[in-house]
Amino acid sequence: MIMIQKDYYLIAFENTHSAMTAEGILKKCVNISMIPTLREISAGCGISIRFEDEHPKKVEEIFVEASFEKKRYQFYQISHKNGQIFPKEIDL
Amino acid sequence: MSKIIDAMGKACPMPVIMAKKEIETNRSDFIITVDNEIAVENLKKLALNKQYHIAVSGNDMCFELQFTAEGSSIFKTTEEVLIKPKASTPKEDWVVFMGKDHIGEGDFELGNSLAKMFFYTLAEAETVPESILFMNSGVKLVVEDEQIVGHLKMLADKGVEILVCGTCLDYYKIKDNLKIGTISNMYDITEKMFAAAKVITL
Repeated sequence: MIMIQKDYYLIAFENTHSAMTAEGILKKCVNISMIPTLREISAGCGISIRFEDEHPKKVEEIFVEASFEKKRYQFYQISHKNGQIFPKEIDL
Repeated sequence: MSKIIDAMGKACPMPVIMAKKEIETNRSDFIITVDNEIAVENLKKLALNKQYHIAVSGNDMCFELQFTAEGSSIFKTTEEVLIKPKASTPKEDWVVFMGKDHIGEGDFELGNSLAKMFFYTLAEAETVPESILFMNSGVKLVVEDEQIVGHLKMLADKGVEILVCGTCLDYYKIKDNLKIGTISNMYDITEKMFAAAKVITL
């Protein structure tokens, strides 16, 4: 069976506490999933947040409003090609 | 005339035990009356396992279930609710047992996030378990956690059976909000565990 994998955005964090704090900030306003940090990404924390229905800029605005510092996270765009995963850092 | 067994007011798993007794005496048809939906669901599963046809009538306070052995000469097709086993999908011979709403011991928030990530990973994996069993506070995941419900829907589409302890849903008073899976009982859940080559308990 061939699985067509959707592209999505991912936020990686410097540590687990940042990931949990971010979840608390976002979960009421953005449709997010907690997912394991992809093997292809090196981050301080094994927990990442996945989302697809919102623009990363909007998510960043929510972080700014909540005084969640920029150094605690990194946005990625995740795409798939030939069964491989390609994460791309996004700097807003 | 069918024998009538009164299991009104009897809590899970009594109605199932009473019906099992009748089946064990090779009775080809009987009627059992119960007063709750969990008992109805459990009896439907029993009928399916024991190759009985079952017809359910009644309302939310009083249900009458007519059991008729498959192949029995008195079997009538009118007004019957027929339950057929689903086409079997090849699955791996292991089950997941989720006895709480988090993974491991320690901080709850962390354990709950780990549970979300576990089901995400399971839904993305190439091999899937035969079934996933939810008990005690594990049942809350199937009711209250939208992310996990989404992953379980994907797993159910791949043929994974999701069994949720009815007694537990009842205890936490969330029975009416079950988002996915089948209300089940101790018999079915232990049967799945015994039959599996491997049980992963989280």
